[in-house]
Amino acid sequence: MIDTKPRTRETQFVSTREVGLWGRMLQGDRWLIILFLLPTLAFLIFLLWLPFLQGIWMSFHNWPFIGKPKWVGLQNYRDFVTASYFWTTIRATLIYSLSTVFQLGIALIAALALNQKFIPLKGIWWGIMLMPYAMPPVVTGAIWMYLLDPNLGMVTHYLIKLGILSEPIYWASDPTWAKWVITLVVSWTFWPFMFLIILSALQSIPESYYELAEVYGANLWQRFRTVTWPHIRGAVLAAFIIRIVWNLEKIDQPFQLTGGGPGYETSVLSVLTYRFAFLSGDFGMAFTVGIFLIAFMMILMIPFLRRFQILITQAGKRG
Amino acid sequence: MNKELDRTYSRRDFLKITTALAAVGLTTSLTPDLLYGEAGTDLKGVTIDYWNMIGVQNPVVKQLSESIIKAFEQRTGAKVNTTWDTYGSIIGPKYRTNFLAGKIPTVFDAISSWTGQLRSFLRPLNDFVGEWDSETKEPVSWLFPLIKVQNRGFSDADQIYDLPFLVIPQAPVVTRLDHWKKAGLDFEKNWPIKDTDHFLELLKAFKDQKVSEYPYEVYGKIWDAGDTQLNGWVRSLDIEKSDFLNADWTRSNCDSEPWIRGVQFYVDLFRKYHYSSPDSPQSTDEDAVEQLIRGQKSIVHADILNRGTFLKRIPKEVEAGLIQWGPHFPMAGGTTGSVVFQAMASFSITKQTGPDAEIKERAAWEFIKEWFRAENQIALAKSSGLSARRDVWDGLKGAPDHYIEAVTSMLNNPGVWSNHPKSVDIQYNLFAPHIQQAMGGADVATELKAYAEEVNKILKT
Repeated sequence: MIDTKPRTRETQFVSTREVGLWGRMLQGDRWLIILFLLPTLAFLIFLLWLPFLQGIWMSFHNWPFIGKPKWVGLQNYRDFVTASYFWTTIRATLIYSLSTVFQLGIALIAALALNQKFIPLKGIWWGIMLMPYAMPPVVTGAIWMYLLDPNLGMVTHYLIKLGILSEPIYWASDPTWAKWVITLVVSWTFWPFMFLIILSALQSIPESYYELAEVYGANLWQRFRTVTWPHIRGAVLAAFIIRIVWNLEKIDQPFQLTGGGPGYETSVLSVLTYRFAFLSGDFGMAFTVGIFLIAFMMILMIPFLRRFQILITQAGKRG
Repeated sequence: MNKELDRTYSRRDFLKITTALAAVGLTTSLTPDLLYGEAGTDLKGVTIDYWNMIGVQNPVVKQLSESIIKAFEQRTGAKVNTTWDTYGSIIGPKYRTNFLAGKIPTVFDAISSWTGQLRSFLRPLNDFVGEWDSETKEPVSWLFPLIKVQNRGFSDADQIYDLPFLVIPQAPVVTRLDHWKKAGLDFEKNWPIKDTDHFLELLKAFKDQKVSEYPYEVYGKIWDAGDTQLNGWVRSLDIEKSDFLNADWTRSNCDSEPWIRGVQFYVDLFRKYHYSSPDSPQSTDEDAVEQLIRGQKSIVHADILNRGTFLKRIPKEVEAGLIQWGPHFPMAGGTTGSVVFQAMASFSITKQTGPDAEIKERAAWEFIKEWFRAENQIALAKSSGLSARRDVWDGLKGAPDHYIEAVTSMLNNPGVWSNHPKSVDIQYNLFAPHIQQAMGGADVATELKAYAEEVNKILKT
């Protein structure tokens, strides 16, 4: 029989004390929820947070691959900040992070174009658009290396043939070109992720909204500003934040295309972390650079995270 | 475990290997009588794990390795589990990680200046070397002082942990005769090159006569900047300061005057004289060899491991003497009489534990001895480097490209790179970015000072 009598504050307090914390957690179906959460929690704790905390600990040590670690305090941080290549690598990372903006630009235009009713064979177009993302980054990196090769590459060949270039560009040996090439190759490889997210958001907008806007005489730009953008901005923001993190941690293509050179000109923070950890075997410095990378990501992401939070709050208020 | 090795050899196996090697004029210790005879029983039941690195050099060396492994198995009855590896494994984290995790081969080959990081896992070979027959030991004994110099920062430098079986003197020059004719140069009068002033004259002639736009190449890529021609030039100015590290491994030599002069000349070939291509900060000797083959270069420095590329790509031209090798040469004013640093491919045996430790170490040593048999040393010298055994060199001379004459003439008091536990980092990872910066226009002395400081910091820790 169901007890319909309202509980007083006093009885609730008593029952809580009697049952205890574990009892409360395991009441009803809660144990099942906790059981389902356990693997994720274990993953987060043992494979993410503990290694991360250990990484911070290691950054205060001289931590060789073979041999005993030695406490050095803030020495690694001091060494990194005063290194001759510090600002070079920060500048490279900043330019490299622009790849997220390029990815957004390409993805937004492509998604808006492919969402138009008059475009035929959409499935095929989507397939073509997704191809760069479906290929392993090392493969796309190799393709671009060949295409852009100053002596053998097709791009150089045709640019010279068309009279756009008078001689090949040795981009891997030129600090400015090298930075832009890795940024553009990474943009080309990963823009379909944003394309997918934006396209999904676009397709969730009811057609009637556009019809109504047309009835009121809205032009293309007005329809985008008042109907499309408010519906996709949350998705765009989420995709943008994810891609900032994913782009900045990419190592394979920059390393493959330039090896971090010339000098340290394309040694973005993730590449430098890899170099310290796996080539130099200096885990103290590797984690020091890694922590700088996290700080760099946070600085870039905080404005977007705050904006995302505001959007969620606004959506919540609207119900 | 490699199942292929777990069975007796058939006539087909034998023919497959020997025919492939014979096609390139090589024979090894895997002879028909050994193959068809009764397998040896000295080490029957013993299995050793071998990590092969030299096989990555080219397909011929891999086949040679297979052949030598099979010959050893037939001769002794032991079994060899072979893992085909690459240089990247010891340069990168793979070997360190595996060794720390207890996944350790019984025997492996590597470049001897890269094994310092694994020294605590290795077994000294002095007792084995001591009982070696004099017929083999004597021709390789010229390497023993070099091994000691290479390890002089270790307290047990007298112990041999790495036994070189191939040497790679860095770096001879290689040229194409047709370019000399086009440039109006007399090859007989101008070869070998006397010094860097003479070299500049030759390059000027190639460029002025428009034989090649960039007749030469200096290498900025990480693996070639620090181990091709540069150290030899520094050595010609000062033997003691020519290695990256000083004698007791307490500081870097690279901010010294001979280094500044050597690196400045290296950079000038690219920036001042424009004899090296715009891609120099990222170029390699393998790329330069390809360009020489295509006629885009006139002279390049290249280690003799590249000889296989010439044989594969333009065998007829090599046979006709179009390609000629010559010795490295000193900086103008360099009077030390030595211009060479020598890389060495070596064998190491790891410390074994357990009841069969002794027999496994013995088997590993017998395996190494197989590689030092005269026929194997000759085959290796024809396909990869210069054999460690000096007694086979004379028999190798007379090839149309004179590669043996070129490299053996360079071996006057050669230098060797230190086998410091951080040698890979010091010689390659840290050095290349600074050379690339200098090639980009940064001041050479400033870059070398910054590099030396980075190395000194490592040495302190």
